[in-house]
Amino acid sequence: MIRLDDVEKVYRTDRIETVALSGVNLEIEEGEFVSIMGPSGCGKSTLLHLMGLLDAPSKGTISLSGAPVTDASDKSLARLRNESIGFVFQSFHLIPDLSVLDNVEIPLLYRRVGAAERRKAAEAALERVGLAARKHHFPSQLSGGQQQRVAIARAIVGKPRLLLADEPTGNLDSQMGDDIVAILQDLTAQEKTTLVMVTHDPRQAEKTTRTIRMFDGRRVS
Amino acid sequence: MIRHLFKLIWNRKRANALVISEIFVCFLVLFAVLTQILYNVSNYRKPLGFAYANVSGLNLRLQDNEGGRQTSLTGSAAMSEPVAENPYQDRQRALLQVVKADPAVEDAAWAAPLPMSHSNETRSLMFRKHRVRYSMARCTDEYKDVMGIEITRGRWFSPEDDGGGYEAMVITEALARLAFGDEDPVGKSFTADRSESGEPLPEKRVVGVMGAFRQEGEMDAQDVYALSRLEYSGRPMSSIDGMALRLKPGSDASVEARITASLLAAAPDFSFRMEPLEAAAEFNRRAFMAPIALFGVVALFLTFMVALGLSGVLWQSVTSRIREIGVRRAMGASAQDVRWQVIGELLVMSTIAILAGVVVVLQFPFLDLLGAMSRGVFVAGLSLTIVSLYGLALVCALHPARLATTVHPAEALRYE
Repeated sequence: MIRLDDVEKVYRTDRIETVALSGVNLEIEEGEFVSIMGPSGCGKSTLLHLMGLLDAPSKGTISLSGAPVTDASDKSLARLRNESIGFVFQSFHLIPDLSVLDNVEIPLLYRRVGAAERRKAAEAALERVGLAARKHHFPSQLSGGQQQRVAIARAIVGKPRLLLADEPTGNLDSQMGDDIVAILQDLTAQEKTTLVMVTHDPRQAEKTTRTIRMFDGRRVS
Repeated sequence: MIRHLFKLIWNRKRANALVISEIFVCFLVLFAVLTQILYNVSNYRKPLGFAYANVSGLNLRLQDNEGGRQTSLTGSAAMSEPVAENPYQDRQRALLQVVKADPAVEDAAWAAPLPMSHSNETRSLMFRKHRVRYSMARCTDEYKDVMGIEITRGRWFSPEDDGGGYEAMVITEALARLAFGDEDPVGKSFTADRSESGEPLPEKRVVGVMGAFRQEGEMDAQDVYALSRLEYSGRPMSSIDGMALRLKPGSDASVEARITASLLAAAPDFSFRMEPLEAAAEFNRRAFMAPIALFGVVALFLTFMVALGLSGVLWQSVTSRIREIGVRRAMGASAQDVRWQVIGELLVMSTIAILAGVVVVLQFPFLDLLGAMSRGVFVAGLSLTIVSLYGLALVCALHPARLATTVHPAEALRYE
């Protein structure tokens, strides 16, 4: 599904050069549910951003479904993110001025999908996460767990093949966290969606099929 | 996407209200200035109806040595006693001959008020059950050649109008349309149904129609105008204190001094003042343009302030929404999509403000407040305002839109 070859990421400012990732080789197969673990600052989120084509590596190559994407144009990368990748963030990142339904529709806006079809797909995604009844609510009217479920609905509305979750349970209590991971597990089981989840919680990592461990910007297992 | 933007703007209506109000005020100011400019340009391009190059205006006044005051040829003193006939007719004929005898004078005519004189004689009468307002001047038969007036229908004044028991008139096409509609006005009587006291009014007969006559020059919007024929023996002639002189090209101030001296020799009890109409027209243009230019500068300054404000507000909005931009990039928005979203949001806010502005300014034609302005100028002014405002919004949005795309998606998501 996604492959990283000798990937390095260096952040440079005028005075400081920070190596965030170094020599990372990684391959994730289609339908896998992989967790990434490691201490804070070890490069987990940077790795997820590179896999999500939100950032470009300083060195090395990234291939999606066998095709290298490292040198793709901004437009091509945007289309790949839109059609192939879904994101779930730790702090949900919902747009506060849009209703739940409008938030979920966003990825389809950039796919030039018609309004009726967009609505139908968004309602189906909300149904999937059990929030169809709250579609006209605004994010501020929902609990943390509900907001994360909306974020999952938004991530899956375009039926991506790869779902990237950056500490999706980090801002939730353990019960809500379990609910969220259960939804993600269900997705991989039923839709064969490939899922990569960054987590600090070993209990949640145990529920995945494989765990990748990072330390100081390097993959250690 | 447009619906999405409208929804976003509507849901942020409190935050956006100030920006929309700012654009709304800018719309009204721009509309006032642009419409005024278009109105003046449209007036300037209309036919003037006469040619004032090489024409001078001459004003004469009776010198009252006892009181040290000056009155016009007749003035209040002359008009205080009703006169059946003009007591000054011999002197007026003689003075005209003095002027015409000068080798630099091509032709001359008695007329009042003279073009560019800032003197206005307006008539208002109920005609065929609707009110007709028009400005007018009186003149002798030479006036057509002196002023280069073109007759479009009928004829100019001639001796056949002498003693006919009517007041011969040449009216502009605009007055003809207003008073007679599609009918041919030539030969028709242009007289009110009755005077305010109920007595029948003397007949004003239209003998001809001229293309236009905008007395105060190119910037004058008033084109509903009539010229009335003066007979030396008639009472109206007694109040005439102006003369228009067409001079040979190249005539200078010395010619004016010579003519004035000749007139003083012939009528030492009068004072004379002569001025080229070109100078008076230039003065009129400047006097007309000064307030518009001032208003334009104020409007330009206001528009500049609005532009700075819009750009600043949008910049601030982009800065406070960087994480949202990051989320949109993650969801599949390209840099171009983000750029167009920022621009689109301002265009949507502009559309709301413009719609409100259009509703306000559309009241003018509905309430009949356009005055002499044509509907064409109004529509052109409105269209130009809308285009200008969208242009302004686009320019103001460009820099913040560029700013929104310079932040890398991964950085935008981390932005606090």
